[in-house]
Amino acid sequence: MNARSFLACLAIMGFAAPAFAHAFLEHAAPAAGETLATPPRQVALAFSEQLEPAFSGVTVADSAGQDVEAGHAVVAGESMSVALKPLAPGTYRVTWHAVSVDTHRTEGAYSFTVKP
Amino acid sequence: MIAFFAAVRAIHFASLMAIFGAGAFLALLRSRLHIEVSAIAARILFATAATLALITAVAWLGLVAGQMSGDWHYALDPAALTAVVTGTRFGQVFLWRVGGLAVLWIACILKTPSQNLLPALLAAALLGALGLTSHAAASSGEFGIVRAGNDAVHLLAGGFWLGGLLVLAMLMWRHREAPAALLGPLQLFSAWGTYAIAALVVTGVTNAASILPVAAVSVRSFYARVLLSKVAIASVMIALAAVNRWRLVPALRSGEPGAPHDLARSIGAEIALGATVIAIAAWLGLMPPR
Repeated sequence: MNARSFLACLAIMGFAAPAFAHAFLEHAAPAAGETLATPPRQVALAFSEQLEPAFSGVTVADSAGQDVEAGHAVVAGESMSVALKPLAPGTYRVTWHAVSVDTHRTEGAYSFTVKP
Repeated sequence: MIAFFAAVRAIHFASLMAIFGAGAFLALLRSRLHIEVSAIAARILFATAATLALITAVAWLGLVAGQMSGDWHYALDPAALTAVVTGTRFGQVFLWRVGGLAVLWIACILKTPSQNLLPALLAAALLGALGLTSHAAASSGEFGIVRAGNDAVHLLAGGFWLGGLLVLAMLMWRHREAPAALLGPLQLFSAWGTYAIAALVVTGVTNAASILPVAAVSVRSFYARVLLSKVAIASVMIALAAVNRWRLVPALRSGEPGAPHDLARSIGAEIALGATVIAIAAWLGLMPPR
């Protein structure tokens, strides 16, 4: 059975899918796995849903695990961003958590590299 | 903990659906057939359901605090609860919701709840608001309002089915010595139940169409398998309803000796399956669709 016939079955059975709308990461700058020639000034993430600022955030750490943000994350609408201290060459890990306005929580992490 | 959260949601949905459906079907019975159920039985049903709806709403707040924090220990943490109530959209809606549930509770405890429409109307509003706060809260624009309305109709139609079955069960117990008295209520429920099932089908189609571009649901995913199990159980319920209408009710009318017993078993099975469907829906709502 393929996805189309599955959905056709759902339609025939007359059954409403339940409520769900998790906030998935749709766009990130720097992107996951990206190698940059110049150090980024901030990390900006865009999600698929409206976010709850009180329960959403992002942190960035260097390879030693030291935080390199230059302030708190700013969460507004469907996106969040955080300013960075001047970054030395190396690999950095971005860890985010996002709560959509319908209360669902998603989490994730990825890395980017600054070239020497 | 997800199982507990799902149970809390399921009891909340089922309680409000039972109040709306029982209230609506009792009003139909009264206006069309001048039939009442036992006042004590109705009062127990309405008061129990309203109390459960209120308790589960408060438990839901704690569980959301845990869910949003990513750690269930925060479910009882005053700071996290305050942050949810004061700082999130769920919290704003929660305050209104608890207010509405308190009014519903008073209406179900003080008054003879089966003899006025207030509990059914309040329960309908609270069910409709569920659609506004879940699905549509995150999707924006006119599409979100259409989906919320669609959800509301689906919940109300399902509520009429469940609540009507509960009233029928009460009547079957009351008239167990003279089951011929059940013919009128059964036929009335069959007629309106057909509209309810039609509404469930239409809103289901609309919802399936609306999630099609949003969620690329794979049939092999766990989510999809749970979804399919709900579809299967719901279709068994529709089959049972058809057997009741076209076989067991005519058998009762012609006075077949086994008919009352078969009907009672069939209605009991439908109620149990309905509760299972609500439980699965409550669980699915906590699951990411991919």
